[in-house]
Amino acid sequence: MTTFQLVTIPLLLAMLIATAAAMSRRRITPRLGLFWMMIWSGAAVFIAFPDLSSIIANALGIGRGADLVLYLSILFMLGGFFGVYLRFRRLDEQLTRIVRHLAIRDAGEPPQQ
Amino acid sequence: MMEEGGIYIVVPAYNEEPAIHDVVRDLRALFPNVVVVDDGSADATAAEARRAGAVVVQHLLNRGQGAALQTGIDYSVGRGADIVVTFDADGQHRVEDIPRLIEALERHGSDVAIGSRFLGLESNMPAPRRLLLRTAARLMRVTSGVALTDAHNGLRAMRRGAAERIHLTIDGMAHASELVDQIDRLRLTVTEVPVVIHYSDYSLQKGQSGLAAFRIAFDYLMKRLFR
Repeated sequence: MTTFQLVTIPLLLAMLIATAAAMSRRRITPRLGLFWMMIWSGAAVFIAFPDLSSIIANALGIGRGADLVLYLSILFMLGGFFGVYLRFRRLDEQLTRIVRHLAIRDAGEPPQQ
Repeated sequence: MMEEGGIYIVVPAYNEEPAIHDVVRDLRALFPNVVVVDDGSADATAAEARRAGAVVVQHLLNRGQGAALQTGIDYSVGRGADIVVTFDADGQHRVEDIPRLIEALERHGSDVAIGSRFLGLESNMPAPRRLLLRTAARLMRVTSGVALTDAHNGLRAMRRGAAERIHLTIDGMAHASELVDQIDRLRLTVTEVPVVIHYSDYSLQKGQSGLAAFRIAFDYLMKRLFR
């Protein structure tokens, strides 16, 4: 085992346990918990068996396993950014509705002619 | 007393302290119901507008011109307005164009009347601005079914029925394109009326830079794609 594996695999296992604990204490939704547990265990598997990613990469026509992982992470991050963008926009709309509600509620009486 | 019903002039204003007083005063000479939506200004816009006789509806936070317009429309509809007119705060519109918009509503029985600076009346529009606005109007003709010569004019009049149904959700400047889309989707009838835009150093400095067009186009496209 390489030093890298010795450091990262226990770390990922710890994240896995922490996620499972958060799930059982209902701190996160089951869907989100399963998503993150898949991420952690996937990362651990690929680090434990480095050849695995190369095999998949070659099958997809990508030279190195590390490149495959890089491309996939970029895709995930872009998807994540987009999700954050949509959520941000929704928050913006909600904020506007509150500001509008308060503005109309607090509008004083119209001035005299 | 502000009369119930009637014509309401909605003026969205953000940091318009130098201009808002005279704009409201000129409006009030013809129209008793002037609603200034102060969009979280940092200056004395609200005080100046009140001094000139407007009712001021105040956003606690700056939310953008689209948001301010919708607030003014909601307020006016809530007060029982029969016709809602939108009018820019920087003094680029002429008060005397408003009766012509309202007359157009009545003459054509339209739901909405929109001012156009491209229907023959003279103005001192800078050439780059003319090109940008004409291009934007052409693009809007492609993306929506409404044919307008000037889709981004702040001077508009709408009947109560239209004002009740229009809901601008784009807070920023892309609301103008969103409005055209909604006119299309709600099957509202629209008439264009020639108006004069007066470009002063002040209005140009307050207005959108050419580069902002990209931001506006982005907001609009994202709204079209992911509502």
